[in-house]
Amino acid sequence: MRSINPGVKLATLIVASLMLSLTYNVAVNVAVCLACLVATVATSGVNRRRLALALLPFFLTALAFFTTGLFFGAGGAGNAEAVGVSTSVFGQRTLLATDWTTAMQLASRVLAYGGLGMLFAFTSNAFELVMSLMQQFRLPPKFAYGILAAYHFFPVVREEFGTVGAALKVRGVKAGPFSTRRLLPMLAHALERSESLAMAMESRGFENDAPRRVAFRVPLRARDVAFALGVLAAIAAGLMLVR
Amino acid sequence: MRSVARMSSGKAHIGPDAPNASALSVRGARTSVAKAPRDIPALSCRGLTFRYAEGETPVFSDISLSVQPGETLLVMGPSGCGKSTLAYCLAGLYPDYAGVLEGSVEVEGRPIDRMGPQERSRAVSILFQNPDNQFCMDTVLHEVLFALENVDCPGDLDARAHELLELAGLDGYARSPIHTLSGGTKQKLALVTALATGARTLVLDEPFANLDPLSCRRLAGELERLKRRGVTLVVVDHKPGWWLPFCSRIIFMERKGNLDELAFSPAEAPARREAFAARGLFLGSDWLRGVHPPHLAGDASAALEARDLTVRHGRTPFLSGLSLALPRGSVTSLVGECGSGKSTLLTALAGAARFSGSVESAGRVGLVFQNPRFQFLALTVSDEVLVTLRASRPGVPDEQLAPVAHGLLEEFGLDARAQASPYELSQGQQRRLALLAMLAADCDVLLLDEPTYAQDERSTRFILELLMKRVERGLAVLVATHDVELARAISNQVLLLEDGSLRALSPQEVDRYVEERKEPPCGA
Repeated sequence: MRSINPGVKLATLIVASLMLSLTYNVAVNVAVCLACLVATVATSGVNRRRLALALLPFFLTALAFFTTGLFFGAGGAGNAEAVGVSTSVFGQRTLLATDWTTAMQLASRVLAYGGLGMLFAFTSNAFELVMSLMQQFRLPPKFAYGILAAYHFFPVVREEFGTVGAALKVRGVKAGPFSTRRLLPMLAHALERSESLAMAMESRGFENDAPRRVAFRVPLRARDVAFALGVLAAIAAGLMLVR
Repeated sequence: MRSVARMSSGKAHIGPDAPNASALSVRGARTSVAKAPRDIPALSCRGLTFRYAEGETPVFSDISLSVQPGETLLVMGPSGCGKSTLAYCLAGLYPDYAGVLEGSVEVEGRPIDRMGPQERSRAVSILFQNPDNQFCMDTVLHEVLFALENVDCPGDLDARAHELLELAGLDGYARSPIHTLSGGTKQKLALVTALATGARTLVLDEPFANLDPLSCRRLAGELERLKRRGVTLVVVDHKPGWWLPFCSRIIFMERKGNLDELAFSPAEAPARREAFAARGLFLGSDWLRGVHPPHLAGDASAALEARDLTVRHGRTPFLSGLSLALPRGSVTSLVGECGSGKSTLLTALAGAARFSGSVESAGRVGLVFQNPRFQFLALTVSDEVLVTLRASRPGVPDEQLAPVAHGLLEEFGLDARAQASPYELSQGQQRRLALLAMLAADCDVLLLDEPTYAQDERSTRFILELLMKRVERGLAVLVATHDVELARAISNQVLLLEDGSLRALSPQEVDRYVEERKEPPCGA
């Protein structure tokens, strides 16, 4: 999974989730979720504990949707049936049928999104993604390197958050983790940092429109295209065949 | 010689035996300049006037300066004299990033404002004071490659990057994440990336301000090697120590005029001791002669006592089993390399970080951070003091606190700026305000993290005097510092933090420690 071009992977998974969002096919949703999780776990170097932890919110949301759909879906489903508005995408009826199916449809959809998200998040490298977006999807270098710089500053910002908290504490000022008291120093620093970073990048020769060499090629290969077509075709086929 | 020649990038590649480093080659398509003759200054400015905003009083006006190829020029001046601003102008960053500039800056005879960043960085690059905030990639190797990509460097980028890293002795760090490096290693990396662009002139803005003495020595050695290879260096600093052994000229920054006329050689520096003093600048450590540790009564009780203190980073103990006592009315210094945990220890002692073990203090413990700006919470200087006063004296109305705040601001020489924003103050003033904001709470113990960092002599003295006055009244002070000579001069005890443990140094050990780390002497 790691060798798939991250830009293509992202695009594929976004299209896949759009396809699923237009339909309510429980079996396909569950299949997509399982397939994604199996693919993620099968990829080497994936931390399974963190994966399970990351999936937890999705399971909880799915559970919430499930119970909501089960207990409060009655009126909506009945009305929908009575009004009889019926649309279809990929041959799927997009109307709510009964309470049980409503619940399953909503819950399984959340799981499918979760699976797609995990597949991407756990098997992709942020650096390669940005490089691929720049090389294959024409993201301007200005944004690409800006995103990377911001991304690399996360550990520093976290450290700063702690320092500001400590500073408040020694001053005897009480401030919760989301207090606006923390905002002023953090904001002042963010401004200072962004400016000095921009100056540093420029003094290292960075110019948006200038010709530049590429040290990291993120290749676009046949297998990436095959992955994109394969995944999307499989979902489309599933939606058309499984009723 | 070989590597510098190869650094000057370009499709028209210079052979390994190019005669001198000022040989210039830029992509043929853009310019026809092939070589900069010897007599053209590497960097020069004429009639330079800079204002931060239209209509404001200029930071400096009508400044002229020229730097010859291969020269190392040291520009000195007290905090806030505009020397960093001049550095940014010379590097072509101002007025793009701030202010209004009149006059001209030329790099190798070409006006800098007509060059794009790519072309400019092949001629001149800058090293910033703060080793953080100047990298945008994750690892050391990626950062160097980023610079090589930017200037469209020909040839094998990977090989070139490794070659550059090897030159600075950083090849072992190629895959290390940048945020795990020490300040000194970061500055070295910044140097490598600046050279990767092919720059033949480097502007350095107080590059040693954040470094421990051993890192300073190594970086100074590195810069001296570059000088010998023909790289032109323009250094802005208020401490001459590390530069005197190899700089070609010293210039005092003035607000106006031709700076070249004021230049003198480093050999003349000792004879100009008074000129240094008049500007509030350091020249060696002689100013410490009149500074002594406070007199300590034999039976002084401990204002703060820590026993078996352990601080963890995640699950691994970072500092373990530390014990120390700070007697009332005493000064204790905490020394140790960058990253040895001095700041972590101070934060734990102030009760603002998690630790195990016991810390007992007789009263309030104050902590002044290395970067005072982390501590500012209010929009004006006087409010900043009031925040602390309100927190330390709950229930007292503001009308009673205001005169107290005013008195304190007067003592600290900040009353004229009472309505200014803390962020508008000069570095020295910010440092004093941070100190004041802590002392206003009637602390019994004060922990200071690098209180003299980036301060000129005048400001350092001012802070020391304020501090010592309070020590006489019984304040216990713990100072974490890289200034080993200062530590020796002011302290009743010196503690060394090394490999996660703490021990008190004997006077002989302190002397040895200082000898190994002090700046080169500045003459008699």
